[in-house]
Amino acid sequence: MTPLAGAGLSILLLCGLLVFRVPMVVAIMAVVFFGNFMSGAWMMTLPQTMMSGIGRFVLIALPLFVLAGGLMNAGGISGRIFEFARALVGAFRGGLAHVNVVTSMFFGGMIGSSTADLAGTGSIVIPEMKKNGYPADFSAALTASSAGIGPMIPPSSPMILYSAMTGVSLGALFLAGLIPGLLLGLSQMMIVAWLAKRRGWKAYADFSLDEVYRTGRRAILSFGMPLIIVGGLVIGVFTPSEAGAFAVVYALVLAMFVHRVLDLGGLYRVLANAVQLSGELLIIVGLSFALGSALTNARVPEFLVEFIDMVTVVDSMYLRILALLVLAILAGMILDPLIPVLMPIILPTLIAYDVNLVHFGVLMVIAVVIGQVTPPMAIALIIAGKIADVDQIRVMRANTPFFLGIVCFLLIAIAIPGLATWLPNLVRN
Amino acid sequence: MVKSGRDRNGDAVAEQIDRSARKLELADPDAGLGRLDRGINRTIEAIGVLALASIVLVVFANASSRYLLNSSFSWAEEMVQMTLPWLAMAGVFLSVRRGTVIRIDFFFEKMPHWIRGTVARAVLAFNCIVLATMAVVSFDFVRMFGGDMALYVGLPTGVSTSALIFGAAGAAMAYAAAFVGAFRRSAAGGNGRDA
Repeated sequence: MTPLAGAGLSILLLCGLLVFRVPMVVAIMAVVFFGNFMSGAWMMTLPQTMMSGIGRFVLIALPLFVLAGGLMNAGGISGRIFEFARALVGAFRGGLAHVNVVTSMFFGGMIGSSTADLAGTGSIVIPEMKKNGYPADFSAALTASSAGIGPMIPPSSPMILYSAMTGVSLGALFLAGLIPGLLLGLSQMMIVAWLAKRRGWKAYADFSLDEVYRTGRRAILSFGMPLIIVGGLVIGVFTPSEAGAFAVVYALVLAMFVHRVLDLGGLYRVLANAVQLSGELLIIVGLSFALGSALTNARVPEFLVEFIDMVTVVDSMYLRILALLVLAILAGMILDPLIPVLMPIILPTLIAYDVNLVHFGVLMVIAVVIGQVTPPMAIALIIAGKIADVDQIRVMRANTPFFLGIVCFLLIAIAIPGLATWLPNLVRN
Repeated sequence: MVKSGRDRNGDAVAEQIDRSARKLELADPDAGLGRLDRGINRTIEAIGVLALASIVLVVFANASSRYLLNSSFSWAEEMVQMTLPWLAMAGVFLSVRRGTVIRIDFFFEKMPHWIRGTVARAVLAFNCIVLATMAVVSFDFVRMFGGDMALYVGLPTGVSTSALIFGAAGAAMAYAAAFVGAFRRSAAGGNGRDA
């Protein structure tokens, strides 16, 4: 059997195992063992490559930011953020839907987890939207789509994974995601405004500067967290891992001594949750290095370059990037986490095409977000649909404007690399 | 300032959001488990929490010391990198034990009802075999390279890499126990598909 056929068989085996509900960790492990066995490679390359993958210093940021997010979530910031968002945009037509989007944008800058946003905030906001006359399917679709803003805005777990897999500066990636994240939120607000006008949705709150001041004062300390992360990286005071540690200490002080809503028992629980949430991702990253190395030895990246050249008839970098992203979106419909599994396969191709890896990192995160709202997996839509107690098909149909919006946004982000690269270049210069 | 009815309602929603977020974060993941199962989970959890707390302390102290005292710890980076595998393996073990491991349920749920129990049991057995193989290979790896000394920390690297053995063996045992449980339920008349 040729190495390429062996690699094809390995990829098929991986898909087959995942279809049969084999955990991703076990599926990748089994495929690497199978690949090593077929090629006669030394079995011990698996633990060796895995340890070198886990040992990447940038990965330390992952459990730290997950922990900081957990502390903020348990530390009473969610309600304050919601209040502030309501004071800012609640007076618009379709106010509560706007508040939902803005809360997700703020949430992304503090917690970086779309699941926490969905399950925590969504479980209250969706019923509240229904109570205020919004259709249940729309409420679920909007909440699922707006939760996708979180991974774009630093601190972002997919970006940490991308940085670990590619070696691209995490600081540059965090900065690169900021403007696209905010623009994605604005694009969703524009869709909400258009729908609100057509369907006659009302405002959610009266606008008053006093209320903006009152809620802003209550929420201001929560905004210290993104300030530490982005500010620290811009000034060059911290490495991303150090920014993570300072974010943890800041969130800890806020939750335990300022808001006084977290005791030692609660702190232990948040720490334990962070261990469980980040541990498996770390192992998947380690295993993906082993998988990537096996596929590279089988010359899969060269095959991918030939394939992309064949499907992109015109010699255009944009078309090549688009072809790779279509591949990522297709894989993202099934795989979660997408980045550690896919990046080892396509990274050599990106380097061969001389693609800007910071730009592509942001595009990959958008692909991850699209995957979360695209069947058959559509994890965000499924969670939101369950909260809203509405049929999945209806939620997917109601999500169409937001889905089209994010696809258009992806195309714009491909065509204008400056959206992602302008801020990191500015800071570097 | 007098608040309108709409604003008062908004405040109540904000409070509910706070409560929901805290409940989500602070819920006991082992509620309803027996004493032995809780004990196992809590022990591994403690190892993971210790690893994570150490990482936070070392990274924070190192950065603070660099700015405040103009000196940093040469061993900090290596120590954190050596602790990370323990955190990762504790996390995987807990995910396996608590059934939150990352997997795709979609296709399984589309399978005919009668076949699901058999597929679930076969998958449990498969997981157990793969992880046990990983534990054996990791054991050989640690036996061969675990004696190498870490440059700054001055400890054998096996202190770190042995996490692979414990994590893989622990997860294999967890799947073995789940397989036995599913098999017994199936023999007793259930379909064992909730494994």
